[in-house]
Amino acid sequence: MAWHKPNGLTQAMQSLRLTSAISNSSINASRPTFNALRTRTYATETEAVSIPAAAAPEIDFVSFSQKPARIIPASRAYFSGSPRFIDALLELEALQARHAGLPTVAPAEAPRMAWFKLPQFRDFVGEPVPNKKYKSLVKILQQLNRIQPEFLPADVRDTLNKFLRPGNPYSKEIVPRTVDESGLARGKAKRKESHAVVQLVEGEGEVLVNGKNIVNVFSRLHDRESALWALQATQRLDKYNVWIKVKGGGVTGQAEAITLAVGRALLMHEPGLKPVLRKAGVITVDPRRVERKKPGHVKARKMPTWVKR
Amino acid sequence: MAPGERRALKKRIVLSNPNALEIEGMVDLSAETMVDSRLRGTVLGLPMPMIDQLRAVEAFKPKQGWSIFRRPGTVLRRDTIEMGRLVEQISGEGDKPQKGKVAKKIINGMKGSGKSVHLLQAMAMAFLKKWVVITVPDARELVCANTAYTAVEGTKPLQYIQPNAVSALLKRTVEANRELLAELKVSQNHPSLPMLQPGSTLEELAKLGFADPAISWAVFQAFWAELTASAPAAGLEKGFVPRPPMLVTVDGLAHWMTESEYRDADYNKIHAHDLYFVKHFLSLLKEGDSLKNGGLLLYATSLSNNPNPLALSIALDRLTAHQAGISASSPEYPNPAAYSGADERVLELLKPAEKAISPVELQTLEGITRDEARGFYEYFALSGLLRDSITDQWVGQRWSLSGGGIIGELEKLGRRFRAASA
Amino acid sequence: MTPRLNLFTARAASALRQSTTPALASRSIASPARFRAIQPIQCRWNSSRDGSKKVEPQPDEQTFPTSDQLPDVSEEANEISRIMDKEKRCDGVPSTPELDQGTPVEEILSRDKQAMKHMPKVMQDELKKSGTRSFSTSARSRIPEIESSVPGPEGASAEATAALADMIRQAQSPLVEENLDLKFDEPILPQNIKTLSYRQRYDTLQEQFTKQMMVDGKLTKAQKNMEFILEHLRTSSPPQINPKRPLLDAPPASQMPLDPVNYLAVVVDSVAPLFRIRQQKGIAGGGAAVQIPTPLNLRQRRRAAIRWIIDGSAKRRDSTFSHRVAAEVVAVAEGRSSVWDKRDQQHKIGISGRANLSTPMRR
Repeated sequence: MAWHKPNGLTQAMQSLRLTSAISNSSINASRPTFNALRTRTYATETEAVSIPAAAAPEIDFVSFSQKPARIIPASRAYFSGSPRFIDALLELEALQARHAGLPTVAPAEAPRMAWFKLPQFRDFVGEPVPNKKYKSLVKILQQLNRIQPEFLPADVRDTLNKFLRPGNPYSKEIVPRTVDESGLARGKAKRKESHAVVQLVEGEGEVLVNGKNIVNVFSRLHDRESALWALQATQRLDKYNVWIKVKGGGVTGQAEAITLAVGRALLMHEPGLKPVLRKAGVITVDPRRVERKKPGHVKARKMPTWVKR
Repeated sequence: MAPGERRALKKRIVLSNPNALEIEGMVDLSAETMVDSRLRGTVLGLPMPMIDQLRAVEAFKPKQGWSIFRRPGTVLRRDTIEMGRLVEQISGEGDKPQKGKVAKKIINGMKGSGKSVHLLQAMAMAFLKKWVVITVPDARELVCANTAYTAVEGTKPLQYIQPNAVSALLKRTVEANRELLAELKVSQNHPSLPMLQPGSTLEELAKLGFADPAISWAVFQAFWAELTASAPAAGLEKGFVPRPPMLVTVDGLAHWMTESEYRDADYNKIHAHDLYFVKHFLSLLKEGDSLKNGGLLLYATSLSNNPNPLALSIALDRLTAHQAGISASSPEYPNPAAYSGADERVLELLKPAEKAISPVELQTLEGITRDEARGFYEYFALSGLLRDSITDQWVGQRWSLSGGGIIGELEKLGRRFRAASA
Repeated sequence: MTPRLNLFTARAASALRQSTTPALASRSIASPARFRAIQPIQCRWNSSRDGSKKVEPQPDEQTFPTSDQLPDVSEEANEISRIMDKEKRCDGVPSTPELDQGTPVEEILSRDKQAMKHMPKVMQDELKKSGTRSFSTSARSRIPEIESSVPGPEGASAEATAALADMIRQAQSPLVEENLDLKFDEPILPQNIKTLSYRQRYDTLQEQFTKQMMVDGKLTKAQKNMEFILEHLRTSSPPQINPKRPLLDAPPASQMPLDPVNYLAVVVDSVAPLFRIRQQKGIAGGGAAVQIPTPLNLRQRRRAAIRWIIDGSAKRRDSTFSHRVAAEVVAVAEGRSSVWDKRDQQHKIGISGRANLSTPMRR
């Protein structure tokens, strides 16, 4: 915190302090000359009655008491409500502008960094940062992170490291699961309340769901298609045998749980299919669940009808 | 909405779609093509003159998807060819003629596996071979208490007649087999029918039952006696023609294996086996040559509106076990659980007989093979209903999606409208 | 929705008119009128739509403040009917001679060989293929058609087709490029990659129609109804098209039942309105609402049409909902349905309310 320039008397004191500081320090060496100059060369009185001048006591600047008029914040974002966040953002933007010319790598090749999760970041800055704004910050972090590692300036590295969450979650290599020795891939998935386990082996298109024919389990064609979409979209329905266990939930949930599980199992057999399966939507998790009922509500959101009396 | 309109809409059967393309060179079902294994997997058209006969015996069901094609046709699948050979045998033709043989089959299988269409194909073959075709298109109608019933005095336990149902059966049979019945003359004595003119045809005999439901049961008994007669009675030899083999089909057998919706005087449920009509057809399944002139009994189960009686499933399991060679004393032999209350009458009726003359067989219809499915889909494509190019892989996909070639599901997939097929 | 006149072609046309002989510079009535008819819907008033290529008015084409006035209602109605009418082409066949006195640029050029030499290459190419309009009034999404026309042999040489196919393959290659870990053949992807996803497996319009029919979130039931409707379209006799109410981009009527999804799409797109009428209060003052036509995008247009079809089906006396809707779709195809009247009514209001567009927009 710096002291704001005070008015009036204080200002005068301040200037006095400044000048005296100057005379104290820089001009100290030439003081004798000054004194000599100051000495009057003519006399109006007799020399004998000269009274030695008593110097004013020196001002003790250490205990100099001065009240500032008001305090100016160090950061311009002080009154914005989330100054630390905005400072961080400005700092990153400045870095980004400074290093805009550096070569970058593709997003997929950039080193994987575990940035703060939103609650952690809020703790870090101690401010209620909205999700959207934090996302924009993470976006800049990602862009800075894409600078080619060999050209990465030290200041950028240090700044980026500030936003890493403690512990390195990406330190251990994730080993993709593969087909076991008997050629069987096992995929698990959930959707809504359903849970499916799929075992996929190379075969000629036989499908069993809970030991039954798929037609008996999913009477709707739509659900059957959903369940086997991973194989259908890649034209591998007649190249694998599928053995499915599914439980919980309703028909749609079961079918779509199988969709995801089959997609995952197929990915173990043929990792090269990943882009296609991603496009087909069969390895994308649908995390939606039934919204809980809240007290005071009739259902999750529905409110009781309002009655005047 | 007018009364009965909804029901009429439900029961409406459309056999032709004029928008579908006419298929050049479509082969019809005939005595030759029905046993031709080279044609396996192709869709054979039902001969146009036969359509009315098949309609008369109510062979078509509303939801079998006839309405999207130009004309009705059925796939010649393995089971069809086997049945064709059997029909040929019983007619006394083919490689191993066995004239007078009676084959009794219970047709089982998954929903949509083609049980009813199998019956239809049997009827078409029987018509081709000039058999007498007697059908019960929906077994449920006999036990759902929708048709009148009267008790027969002096029977114990009390038995019941359904005069209107019998009358309808006679009507169906005459309409479908008119030409054949017009040639057959009455050859037995029928003291219960004094109004019967001597020397009248079987058609005229059956017609007696149309007009007066009160005597329809007696007429039916006489009619049956005539059809199963192997020789004329004394004094009636003139103009006797050997009776043709018979095809008897029943669809929805499970309804006959439990208690009916009818009530007796004490308001207890009447067992389906106490209905004369039902009892007559079920008695044909018993040991021995129930059809004296040979023929085929095809009793199919149905999974739409299925009462699913426990006793029937055990009985069918027993038949399967018997066919697999498991003896009744072995521990694997299916038995009802204690206190399960499985219907003894049903178990007794369908008991697999040792060394029976013509035992009941259980025929389970599975899905069709990929090759047959391909032929089926080519029929769709030729009718202009499919725009995709049909490859083995394409067919294989549908085969898997249909639960292994369940033909009803294949048909649903075929009529599926997809803008851009994968 | 693409308007009758594409703004690009309009600008090109006016620029061209200027560059040709003075005889051709005589003011055409129809083309600017047509242009104006669409303008309020199409572009913002404050946009500098001419930009740097601003066309100077011809000396003999004096502009007065009043000369740019909007045409009267009958003229507008005529324009709209021309827009919606597929049969009448703009290739010089005037539909109503007393109103439509303008001459299309193509026809002028066909008379003037000199000008023809100097006309832009785009137009030269366009003149070569006859029978197609340079712009579309169609609501149908042409993307699938364009895609399906790619392998078509007609109109393009074999090598061009092959080159095109190669380009497509290259465009799709990032998806299947690094398939080192495949056990079987590379999957063949659908032409429209969106349909690869199991959430978008059905036709866009079919999906939209199905979901509009859905009540209480019962999608299965709505899908069943949709199946019935498509089945009905497939098996009912081909529609007898009313020449006054032609269907846009329709295949021959006899072929429509064989592709029921397309049948449904053609019907919906043909009755889809171009705009909706927004009631705005407080512009006119005195609490009176002002009717302002607002343009709709393709999906919105279809939504309005589907809503009308479903509402229109409520009056029918068939037993089930799906029967009613199916019968209504056929009725629309045959031009018997009241949906057409609704659409015409909407367009009429829109034309008369078109003047209200000049009021400053408030948000």
